[in-house]
Amino acid sequence: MAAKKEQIMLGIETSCDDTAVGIVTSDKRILANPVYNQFKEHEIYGGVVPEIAARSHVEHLDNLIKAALKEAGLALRDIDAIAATAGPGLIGGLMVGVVSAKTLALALGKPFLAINHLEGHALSPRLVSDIEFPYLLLLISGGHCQLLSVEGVEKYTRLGTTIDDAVGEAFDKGAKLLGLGVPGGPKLEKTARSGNPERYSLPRPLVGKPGCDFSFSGLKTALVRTVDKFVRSGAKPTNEQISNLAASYQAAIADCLVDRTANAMKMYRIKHGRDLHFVIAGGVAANALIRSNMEALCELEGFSYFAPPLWLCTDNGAMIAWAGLEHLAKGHTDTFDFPARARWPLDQQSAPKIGHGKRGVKV
Amino acid sequence: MLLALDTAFNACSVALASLSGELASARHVVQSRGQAETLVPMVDEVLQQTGVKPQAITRIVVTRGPGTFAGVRIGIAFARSLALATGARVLGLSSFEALAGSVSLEGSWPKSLPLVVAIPAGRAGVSAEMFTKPEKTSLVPKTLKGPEIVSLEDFYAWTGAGKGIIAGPRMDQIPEAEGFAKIDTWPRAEDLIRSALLYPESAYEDTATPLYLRPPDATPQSPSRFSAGS
Repeated sequence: MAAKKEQIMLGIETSCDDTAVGIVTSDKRILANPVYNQFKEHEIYGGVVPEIAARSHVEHLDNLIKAALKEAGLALRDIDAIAATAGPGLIGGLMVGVVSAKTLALALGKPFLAINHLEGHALSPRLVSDIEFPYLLLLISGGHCQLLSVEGVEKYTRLGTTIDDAVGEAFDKGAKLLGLGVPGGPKLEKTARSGNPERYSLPRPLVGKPGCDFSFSGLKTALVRTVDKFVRSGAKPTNEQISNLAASYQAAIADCLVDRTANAMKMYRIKHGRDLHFVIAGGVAANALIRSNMEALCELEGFSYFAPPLWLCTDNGAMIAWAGLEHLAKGHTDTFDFPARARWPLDQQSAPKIGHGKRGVKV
Repeated sequence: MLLALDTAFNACSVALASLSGELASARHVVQSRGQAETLVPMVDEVLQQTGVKPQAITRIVVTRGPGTFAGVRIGIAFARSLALATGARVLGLSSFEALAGSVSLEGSWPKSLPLVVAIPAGRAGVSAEMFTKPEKTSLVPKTLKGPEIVSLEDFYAWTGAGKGIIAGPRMDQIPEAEGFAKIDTWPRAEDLIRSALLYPESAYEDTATPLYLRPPDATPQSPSRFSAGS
């Protein structure tokens, strides 16, 4: 029997403020993975402006595809299939990526695959390691905060999710309140480094409660109140005080993540028994305190710990291409009427997919 | 082959023609949203019906706005990606150029009158461009003024003309004025094919860029009220 031909997937990611294109092979070679970061375009607004993001995606995507092909030393006709993030995310950008991918697929006569952004993150560890299903995933980013049991392609159980802000949002809002600038997460982490995390007593929402959902809005409000006290007193805070506030805030976030993840690990263990693997992904996985706390928790709970490299944790095209390859290997493709979806829960049981154009048999 | 498409307003509209303008197939569905789902299947259907291969498309004509922000981007994303995959050249017509071309070709434009194409621009008023009728219908209408955004109050003063024709997709939103006749007109891919024939080959480019006129609705962040003292 002839060896199965290696497949080359082009993946497009436009769900937030990164325009990204990845070219990945079925034997896990990443041939190109350029990212155009729109950070500068949004900076003066203090956050991502959806309309600016959408305008930027349509302006940059085709050139980024060209750049990726050049880097990979390939022509478009060498690509076997095209995948794009179809949700969840900012709808204006999603539509740009989805329409572009469909058009390329139509013009080249190749399959199109609509990828769930969360699934891109969830499957990304498999692109850079030999990790097998199942594993417990903590996905923490600017837009998402979830604990998922990843049991296979299209088989995800959501154990917990945020009931208000995503954890990256909590970092960004905290940084904004403390006047630290953007990007909020890294700025806050840097400021916290010299601070005393026990100086200010801030709440840990939901900690100690059953389940593994997250909540950060109460913590943010507590920080607002603390800052208000300073402003009302008329005194300028010292750098030390700001560092202490940042450190206390970050410690509270990390404590919440550890407590909720510990609960998830207990739930996960009941279902999956002994061979226990934990993966952390998403842009906030760059935070050193959170990483080390999670690693310690894994040791305590008897889980193996895996954190994909940072370039794979933040939004990128390679993870979308890889998720596309995982689907293609199962014979999945999508039709050209697949909608871009601002909301698209990954868990099939608790929130069944609606109106999607999947062909082929589900596993 | 020449492929024309419009998704900038209330429709998903596609037409395929020979380079000399002989229409092979066309589709026009009225829908103000959802073109990200319908456009590519529609083009697929047109290609399959005519037996034309995507690689045989050497020219693309697309309306590049103003229109709905999302609709404009869907059309442009499609045109850019198809150009990338086929090497086709792109003619991006502004919504003003596209509609002025249609009015000119329809022959309902008295030579002595200026034509103002007016497109609603939300709270800001209207986006407008004023044209003078070309010497021959085989020529492109010439710009007199604009395009720019004008408030509804200033609209007639802006034209600087005592009479004329106003054309555009939402004439119900334009106030009445003596001496001005309104023509309600929406872009159609078939009309884009005819308009495209007015343009020389040199008007086609590698790519097309959206024309929004309106900036994104966002205000810069105010400085933090909390910053460190010395």
